[in-house]
Amino acid sequence: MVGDKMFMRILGKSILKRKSRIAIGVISVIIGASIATALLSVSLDVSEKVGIEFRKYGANLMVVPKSDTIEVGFPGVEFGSVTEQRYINESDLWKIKTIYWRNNVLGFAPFLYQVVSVGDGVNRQNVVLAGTYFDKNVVILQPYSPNDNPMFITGIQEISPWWTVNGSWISDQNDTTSAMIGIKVAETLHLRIGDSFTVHYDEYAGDAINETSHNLTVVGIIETEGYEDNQIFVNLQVAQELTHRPGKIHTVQVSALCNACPVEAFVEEIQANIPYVEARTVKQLASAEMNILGKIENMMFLITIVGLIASALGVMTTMITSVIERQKEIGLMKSVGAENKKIVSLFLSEATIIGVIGGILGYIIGIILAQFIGYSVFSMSITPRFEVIPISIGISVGVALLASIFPVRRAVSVEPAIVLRGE
Amino acid sequence: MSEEIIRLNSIKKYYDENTRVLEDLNLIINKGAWTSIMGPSGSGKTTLLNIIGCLDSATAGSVSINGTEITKLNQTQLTRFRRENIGLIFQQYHLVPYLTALENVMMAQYYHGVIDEAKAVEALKKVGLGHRLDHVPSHLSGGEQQRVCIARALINEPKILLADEPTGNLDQKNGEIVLDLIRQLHAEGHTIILVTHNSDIAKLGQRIITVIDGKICSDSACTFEINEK
Ligand SMILES: Nc1ncnc2c1ncn2[C@@H]1O[C@H](COP(=O)(O)OP(=O)(O)OP(=O)(O)O)[C@@H](O)[C@H]1O
Ligand SMILES: [Mg+2]
Repeated sequence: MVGDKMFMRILGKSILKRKSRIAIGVISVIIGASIATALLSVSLDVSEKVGIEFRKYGANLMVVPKSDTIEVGFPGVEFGSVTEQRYINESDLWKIKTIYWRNNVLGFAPFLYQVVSVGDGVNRQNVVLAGTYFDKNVVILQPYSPNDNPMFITGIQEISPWWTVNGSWISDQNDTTSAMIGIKVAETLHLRIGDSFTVHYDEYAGDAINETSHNLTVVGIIETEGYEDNQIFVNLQVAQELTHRPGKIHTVQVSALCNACPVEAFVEEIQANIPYVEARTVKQLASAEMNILGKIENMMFLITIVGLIASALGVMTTMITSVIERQKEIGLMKSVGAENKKIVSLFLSEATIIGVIGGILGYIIGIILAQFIGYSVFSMSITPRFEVIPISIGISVGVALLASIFPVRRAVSVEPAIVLRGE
Repeated sequence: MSEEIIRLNSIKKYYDENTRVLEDLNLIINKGAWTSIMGPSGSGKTTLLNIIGCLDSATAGSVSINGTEITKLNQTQLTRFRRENIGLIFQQYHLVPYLTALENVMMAQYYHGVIDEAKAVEALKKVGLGHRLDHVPSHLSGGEQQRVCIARALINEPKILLADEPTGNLDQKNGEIVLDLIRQLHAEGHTIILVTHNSDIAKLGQRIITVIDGKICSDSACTFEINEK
């Protein structure tokens, strides 16, 4: 339409002639848009990646057998209670991976513990031997959904990626001769990588003592600054055979990534799938994860709001200055017959253009800012997300239009009579 | 007896209690007449022109233009009425600085609703600026700017042309050109009201009104009538 063309000419030329003024408006928008883009990108990325970060601090669920207390004696007369030693069946482990939130179960490792002795004669030392999984193929016998992978590779490496290991991890799930030992064990027993040693397990059967022994070679030395430093780790089957407890385990440590999902749901579902176990959250870490993520998100939201307010104030100042500078022009337009809506659309179009340009540039700068925040705060790179572009532009245009309400009202209130008055 | 086009009835214009600019002003102007308004600075000439030009409203009284009682119109109606009926020529030209001469004229067409580039070119040729179509105001002389202003005032074919000191910022030669144009427009049948401090220019009109302290204190038309008696 010819009219639209004229409107575009007036709009375009008025903007080109006032580049520096418009630039100030655009820069104001960039401030808010880049902060919004940066924090949105960081927030989207981090809520995915931070879960993994937190997981580094260890398993967040511990599965143990239910410790049923069996009452002994007559009703009302208590003689005390006996806690039966109980185990979890290794054959039930796959069920942990068949809960509704199964994809959030990142890994698990079973443990069978036994105090064993190492060395000969007077040098004999008692050490905790832990049988567990290292990269074990767990077969999911009845997957939750037919699309699920029927194989799940997991083990201690998955749930404890932060361990410092000298030497190597045990990689073969059928390896019966390798051991990884804690740094303190290595120090007390003077063991180095490649050294062999023998563990002894004494089983008391009445008066007789049945001793079983097993030869192991050190392949890796672990340093965690935790109780693991005092333990010897071997494949689960080694521990089971040594202690004559085939198919049995004491505990399972589960690493669950939990941002949107309630950790109680994990607990309940695992307990439902394996009725004789009890799942506990470890040190409430899972809920702490959610808490910290929530707080980070709130903080980012607040910063974004502050940034957008700064933008709005900047645009408002620009627009008011523009209206004041162009008072005569507005009066002239009115005096030659421009209706208020024409004046309104001229200024709102200008605000929209400021918003769009600011939104696009703000996105680009925001992505750079996101990298900076990612590296300095979370030590990770932030993936640029294209879905943030329309959000950035939308927010920018919205802020620019909102900030223009007052200036536009001022433009509308300009009296055409001013055109006949002196300067 | 020619037909009346403007009728002001006991017009008052108070900006506030202490600024009573127009006081019970009555004025009838006939179609096709050229009326000059004179008077000392601050006497209310521009205020009067604003009211006739529908740029400002009177505090009290009635204003009838071309048979329409404009004091009854709302803002939008007033804007529409103005662009149909009134052409304005300013002492300061008021061209839009970032638009060319042609675009300045076409802008008035745009706000009026019909854009006709050929007609806008024609209007500029008429004021002798056919060779300056694409110049922005800063590349035009004062006289040329004023002629663009006149072309813009004419473009929507208003019946009434209001000019407030149209030659106030111009030298003798450019002033002559502008006055010649106004004379030509008058000859074509436009009703012209021209405010001036210059009595020679005022004499170009058929009627001279002198405003002092917001009242018409002398009116050549009345004198003429008195003389006739
Ligand atoms: N917006 C306004 N608010 C208050 N007072 C005003 C306003 N506009 C004009 N006036 C006052 O009204 C009076 C008449 O002003 P006006 O502009 O009509 O005078 P004028 O006759 O055109 O003078 P000049 O010859 O200097 O142009 C002046 O005293 C002026 O100060
Ligand atoms: Mg004046």
